[in-house]
Amino acid sequence: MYFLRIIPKHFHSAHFWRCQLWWWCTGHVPPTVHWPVAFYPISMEDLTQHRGWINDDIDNSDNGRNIDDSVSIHETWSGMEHVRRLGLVRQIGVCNMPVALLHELASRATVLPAVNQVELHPLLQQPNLLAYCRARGIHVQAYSPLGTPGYKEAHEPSVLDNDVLVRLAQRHGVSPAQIAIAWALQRGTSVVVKSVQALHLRDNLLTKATVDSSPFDADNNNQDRSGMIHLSDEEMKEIAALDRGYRFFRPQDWWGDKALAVFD
Amino acid sequence: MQDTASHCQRMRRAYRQPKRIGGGEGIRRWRQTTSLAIGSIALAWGMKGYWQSVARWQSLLSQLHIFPSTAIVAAAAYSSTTSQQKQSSSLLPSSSIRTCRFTTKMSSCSGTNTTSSLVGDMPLIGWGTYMIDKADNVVATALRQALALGYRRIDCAPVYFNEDAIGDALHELLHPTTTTATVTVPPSPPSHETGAVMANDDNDDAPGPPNPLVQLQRSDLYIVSKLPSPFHRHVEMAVRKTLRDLRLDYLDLYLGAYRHMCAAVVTTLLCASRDVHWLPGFCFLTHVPNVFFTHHS
Repeated sequence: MYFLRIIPKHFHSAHFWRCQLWWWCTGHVPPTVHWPVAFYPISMEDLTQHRGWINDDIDNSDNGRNIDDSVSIHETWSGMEHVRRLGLVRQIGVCNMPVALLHELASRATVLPAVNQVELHPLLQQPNLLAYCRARGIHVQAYSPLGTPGYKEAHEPSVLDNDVLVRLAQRHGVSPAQIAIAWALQRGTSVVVKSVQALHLRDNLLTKATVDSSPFDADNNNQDRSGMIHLSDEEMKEIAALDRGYRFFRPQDWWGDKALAVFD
Repeated sequence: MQDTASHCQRMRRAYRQPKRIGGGEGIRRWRQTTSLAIGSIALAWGMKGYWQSVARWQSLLSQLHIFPSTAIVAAAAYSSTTSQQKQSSSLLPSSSIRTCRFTTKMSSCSGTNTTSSLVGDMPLIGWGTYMIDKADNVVATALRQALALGYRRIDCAPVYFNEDAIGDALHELLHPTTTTATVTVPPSPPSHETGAVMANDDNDDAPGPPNPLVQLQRSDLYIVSKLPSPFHRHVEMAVRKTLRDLRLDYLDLYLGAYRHMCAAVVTTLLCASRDVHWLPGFCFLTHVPNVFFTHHS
């Protein structure tokens, strides 16, 4: 605003233009708005000719400096609706949306997100987000339902070694991981589990649980209940008491105060 | 007394305008002769860069060879193969195929005409591919294992940097050559390792080895990918890139914000390259500290 007042006033002065000429001639080319410094320019040839990515620049936020606040969520979402209209994707959803952002998104969306994929495990249960999404028919998907046992730091809390989960696992004769997955399914969320070990893959998949009844009526009537992990109300409450709001993925560690707009 | 004021000064006096700095005759004449030329040159320069970039985008997008028409054909084929999907999945472990049928309701929090987003079956337990190294066939082996065990939902993302390997493995499974088996069955783990864990093994519906004769169809799978952060303004380009990497015609679910980056990180792809010419008049207006009156000569 300051420049908008000052500069037109001095368009008439020769001194101003001499200064400008000097400034341009000394190599100060006119700077652009939001020059993406740490992102190397991704050439379109690379995008179209190569499969995969040459480097990991698309994941480099440079401690939040590359985050552009001027991109609105509505702009992105209209692009998502566009690719859905084209038939390139069947369904569109979001990740890591807190209630506030979802509400903002829904205020202008033509198509609501089908899925909200967030971090959910017994240490971070997000009951308010779950209630909001359930009321609007947005399916909630849990990532890191086991608390990222492979990637967490040593000092971070462990979900699978939690006393309550271990006790419940012994009571049901299954593994703590299966209890965590069964708890997630019983809350009405679906899960994403990652493992490259056949044993873990198999354990995780073998989890049978009572899924939350509201979206799954037909399924619940048809399934046989043998070998199914059913957590009673007391056991669900016991796990609900574990909620600490602990995130294993903390954007504020990577982006500083830029992350404040995302969570809380 | 003769009024020596110039026309400009008289006008200024009459309309009570403030005095302009340095508004002499000479600079005014110089400005009149040059400003129009300079301005038009600058404008043409900027527009040239703009149209060049537009043409480049269009030509490169057309090189991707994935067109919506194929995806629409695939979508039409999807509905016709649903019964076949049910049939083939009944041969596979039952607990893994359990899906949730979810229909999004109308938006209740906004007054806009929000339509329902999806009708579909999504497997409840998905297989994540984060941090799986794409070297040494790790991805391919793990993907085969997961599919053999009965996972049908695959959670990919460009920022996991293994989508091309997953695409190759998937392509091999979906379009097998003459000799390869469809899905290799991993050896079942020895019982002493699984003593307390495999509680479901004695049940009737515990998954046995899947029928190797079942050919995996694209419609059996539920493939998820995500929008990488720099593409929040270029969604279609990101989708086409992902489809190319995964060697697919369509995705079942596309998640709009990458896991941690709700605030969009934007690299302006072509704006960062050197052949975009910014209009000088617009560019020096922003984000430049006090450089206007620094040089005194």
